[in-house]
Amino acid sequence: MLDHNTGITNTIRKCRFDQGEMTQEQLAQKVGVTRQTIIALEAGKYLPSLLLAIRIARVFDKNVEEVFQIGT
Amino acid sequence: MVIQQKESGLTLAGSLAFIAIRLLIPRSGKTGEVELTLLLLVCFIFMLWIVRHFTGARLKALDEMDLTIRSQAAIVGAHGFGAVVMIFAVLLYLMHRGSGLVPLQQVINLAYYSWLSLYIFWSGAILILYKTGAWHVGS
Repeated sequence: MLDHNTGITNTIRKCRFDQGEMTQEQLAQKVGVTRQTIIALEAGKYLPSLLLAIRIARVFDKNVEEVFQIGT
Repeated sequence: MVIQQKESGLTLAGSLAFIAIRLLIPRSGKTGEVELTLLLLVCFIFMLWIVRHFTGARLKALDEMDLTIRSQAAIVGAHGFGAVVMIFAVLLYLMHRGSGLVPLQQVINLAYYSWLSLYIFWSGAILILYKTGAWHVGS
């Protein structure tokens, strides 16, 4: 989903489903945030800190750039 | 609804209620009106503490998005508070520039309404930022 302020997109939703349909709640617990924050991230309403971006990427065993991309 | 939204919703409702309560007090100008306003101010602060306690809105319970929104809402609250103080003070000046003396009750009203406005702007901004998303302040 595209963050309209920054042009940054992410594939968190796709990554969750690739990981055996991981729920938003499960991802939230793994990275130490609330489900509301995961919802905001997926909707492009919140740009995470570098620390949170790295944590999310690690959950999916990916690089940060594979989960977060700068849109064109 | 997350903890902070509950806290903000209750704080906003409480702040508006305290403004309504103050407006219901007749403007008698008699002794006791100032003390009553000060008592309401103390009750308001106590209400803030109760809301925070029962919603569990401690900083440790909030994640980074909650804290980002809280901080950004604090900026909104500070600006709103400043605007209310400035407008109120200018009005007092215009009303009393002839005598150069401002009644004590109106000074306390300035304190009361400006303090409540801080929480109205702050809690309102929190609720709006959860809907719109936090501002991105980077490049």
